[in-house]
Amino acid sequence: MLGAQIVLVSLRLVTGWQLTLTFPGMELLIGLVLVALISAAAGYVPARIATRRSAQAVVAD
Amino acid sequence: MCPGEGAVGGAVLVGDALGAANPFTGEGIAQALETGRIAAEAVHDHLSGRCPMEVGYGERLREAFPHRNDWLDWLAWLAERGGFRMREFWEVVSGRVGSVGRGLRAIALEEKPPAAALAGADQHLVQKSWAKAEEIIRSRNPMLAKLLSSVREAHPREAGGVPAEYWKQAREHGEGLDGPLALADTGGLGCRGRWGRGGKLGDGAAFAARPLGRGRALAGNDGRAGGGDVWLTGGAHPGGGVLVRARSAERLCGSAVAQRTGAFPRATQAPANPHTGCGDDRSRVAARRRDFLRRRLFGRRLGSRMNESLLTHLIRTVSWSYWRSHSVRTVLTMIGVGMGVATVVSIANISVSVLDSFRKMIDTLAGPAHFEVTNWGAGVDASLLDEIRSTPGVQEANGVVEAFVPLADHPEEQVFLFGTNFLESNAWEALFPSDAVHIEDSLLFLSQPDSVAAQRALLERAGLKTGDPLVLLTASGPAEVRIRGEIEAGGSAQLFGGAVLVMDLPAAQRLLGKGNKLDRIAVIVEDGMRADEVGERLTSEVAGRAQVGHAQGRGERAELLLFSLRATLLIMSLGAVIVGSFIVYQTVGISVQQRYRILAILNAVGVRRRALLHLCVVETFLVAAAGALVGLLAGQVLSRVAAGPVGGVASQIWLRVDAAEHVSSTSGVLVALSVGIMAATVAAYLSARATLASPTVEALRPSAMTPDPGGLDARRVLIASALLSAVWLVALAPPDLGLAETVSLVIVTHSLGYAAVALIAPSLVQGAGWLARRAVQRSTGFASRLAAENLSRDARRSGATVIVIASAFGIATVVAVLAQSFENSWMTWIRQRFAADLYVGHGERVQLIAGPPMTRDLGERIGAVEGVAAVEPIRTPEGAWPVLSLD
Repeated sequence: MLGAQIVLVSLRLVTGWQLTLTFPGMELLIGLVLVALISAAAGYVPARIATRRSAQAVVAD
Repeated sequence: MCPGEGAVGGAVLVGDALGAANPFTGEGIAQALETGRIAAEAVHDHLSGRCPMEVGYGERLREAFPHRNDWLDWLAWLAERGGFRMREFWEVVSGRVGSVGRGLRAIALEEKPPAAALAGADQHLVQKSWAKAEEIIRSRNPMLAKLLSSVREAHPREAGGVPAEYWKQAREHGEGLDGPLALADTGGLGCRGRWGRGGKLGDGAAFAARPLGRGRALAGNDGRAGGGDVWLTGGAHPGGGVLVRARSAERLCGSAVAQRTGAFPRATQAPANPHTGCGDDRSRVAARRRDFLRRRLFGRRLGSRMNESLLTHLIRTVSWSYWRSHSVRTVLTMIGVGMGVATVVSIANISVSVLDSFRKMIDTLAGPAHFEVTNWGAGVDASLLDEIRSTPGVQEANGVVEAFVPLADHPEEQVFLFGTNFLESNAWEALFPSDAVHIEDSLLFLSQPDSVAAQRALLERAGLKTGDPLVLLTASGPAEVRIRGEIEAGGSAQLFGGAVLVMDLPAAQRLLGKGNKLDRIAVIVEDGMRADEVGERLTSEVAGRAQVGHAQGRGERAELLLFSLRATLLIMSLGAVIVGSFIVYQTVGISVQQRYRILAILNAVGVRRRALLHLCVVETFLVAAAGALVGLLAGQVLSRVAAGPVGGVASQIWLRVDAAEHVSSTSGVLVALSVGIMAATVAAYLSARATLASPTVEALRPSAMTPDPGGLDARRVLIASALLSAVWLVALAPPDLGLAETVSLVIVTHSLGYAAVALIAPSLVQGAGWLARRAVQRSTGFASRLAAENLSRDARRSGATVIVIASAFGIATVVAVLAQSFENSWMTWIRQRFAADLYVGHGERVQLIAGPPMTRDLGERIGAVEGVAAVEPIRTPEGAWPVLSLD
């Protein structure tokens, strides 16, 4: 929505340009997949490290 | 009364003395507080004659911990059935197997553990079943066996239990008390004679003492105080062994219950206590409390340093201890703050570097000229040069032709070809210093039309040397020039990474096909003359044939052309600020939330909430300041690395700039530091306030967690919707707003959008959790069901993560939508405007620096290509959209 606001309103206000709003579906889809993968990795790596600790150490902590 | 019901003689057992501790973890602080509260209520009922203590306390305990016998059932079940599989485990965790399942579920999901109320006598039964159960589990379920055996090894005392000793001492003390009732805990009973003063601590006491330094939190274990009808013994009063229980017991007995019922004898009505100050006036009580706490918490050395504030001591003892014991977590917090600061600094530096490089390029090219005579893209007739030179007040006038031309051997590299009488005029001294220009034979250089002098950086990059030929791609085709000079320094070295060639003016005109035209005439005014007057004379002199403008005007025009770049960088900077703020906020918020138990314990031992709030803020400020400094350095490095690629993109879209020279943005640094430290401090304040707002008892629960309110927060959703709608208010702005106002308005409206996301994020998490639970409802997978259960456990914390990801992805989406819309609109405009299949340009995107015009010959050659139906020449005025030239 912010992208649409920039293209349709803000840009015209700032520069006078009137652009047709185009949604880069493929790029954003790739971005979403990347975000999902990175988020999964961000959860997986610490979880893997945590599971390597002994339960005794975890409980004692 | 049986021992398992918690009261014997005149004593009421609470906490560890009651055996109220998690048998898995040995944790008992929360149970001590909770059983203390229950005991206080039972005592009240007993004293008011409503319910005998022997009945009321046991009933209340059973009501509060209804599942305490489930563990026995469960262990017996395990022992009898002898089997335990993952699926069954899930059935238990999901609560489908009745009370036994709820017990296990409580452990798995860290809910209120029903085992917390295992009484001392019960522990005997647990112990009997334990060995058999563990043997069975170990053979069938390694994961659960590992947990059980590790817990047992970590807390052998809990597994062993010594209830008989508790009861023995409880009887002795309870019967010997003057008052009818006594609240007992291991601090006063279990510790007495076994651990003694300064000896081994119980688990709860050790936990309480850990952030303060082992041994400092404990004092005598045998203190007795109080009066009236209620005795507080051992750990149940501030002089006792476990201050956590003492403070809470005092609070519970003295305020919570009393204020609610109005009948319970308040602890403050008792004779003045030398430690707590009960019965004294408030100021003296406060002073005594502070003194007491200082001595108890921080040792007697504090007595000699009374000027040192409590906050300083907390930082020195609590914070420093925490930082050292949780160094990784502390470093991660610093990195989080540093990342936010680095993001803002790097974007600001890149922005400033690109624009500064551009301004320098303009200033360098303008040289010392006061005026420039131009004629848009058509060029200035060379005959005007003599007329201008003869104008009164003009000291010097130099004609210039200039263009970017690609190298034939390296088409991807364009060199800036600058043609002027640089050997004869001192006007270009700054650009081409005479001592930096090495031309072996000046006569040969001037006499040969293919002579060029090249920047040493270019020669080194292209592997060329003086005397070598160089082929340039001009408008009329490849043209060979010969390097007859070398420039090793000067202003030209700063231009375009040194990709600069300089030629004598006539030779450059010939090479670029300019004929008798000049791109501009640089005019220097005589010393002592008023530039405005000379400018007016020049204007009247060249009227109708050219335009006269201030040299710096070209920079201003160019800056206008770069406006979209500046606006884009500004919006990127805004995004960096927002994302950086969210990163910092989330990092610090999590850091504080992870310490909620330590904060609650400190509060329970008597450190006031306001002091804890200050502690969190100051502590976070220190960590954030360190992280901000690291981020500052990281941002400088990041901007140095990224300035080149960003400058390259800007060169491709707008005009050639070289951002290799790094410029640090002072304002960017200040904004980044402010954002980093302020966001961290605000996050610490809000998180600490939220943490401290919850009751201490709740915060001290081993399973303490933010309750899931369930469903969507309608108010948040409404406010977020309003904010999202307000994003479009920018459409109402008048069109004649200035740059600063317009950009500020855009930034404010965008900030509203991000604020809306921040507001609605917890609700989104709750919604996602609900959907996930529905999705895995029929699944038998343990991991997926547990994940679904956990998703919305702490919607606020998860929401903060959502905000960070959403804001970062939002910035990327804004830029992507902008770029895609720009490209699409541009191509659509071209198709509609020119209705042609192919466009051939001279390579310049913006005619700030005139490119070589295409010749008619080139148009004819293109027209002769098979398949070309027609060739239409196009030329647009300077300063308009990218020029398309066709012949």
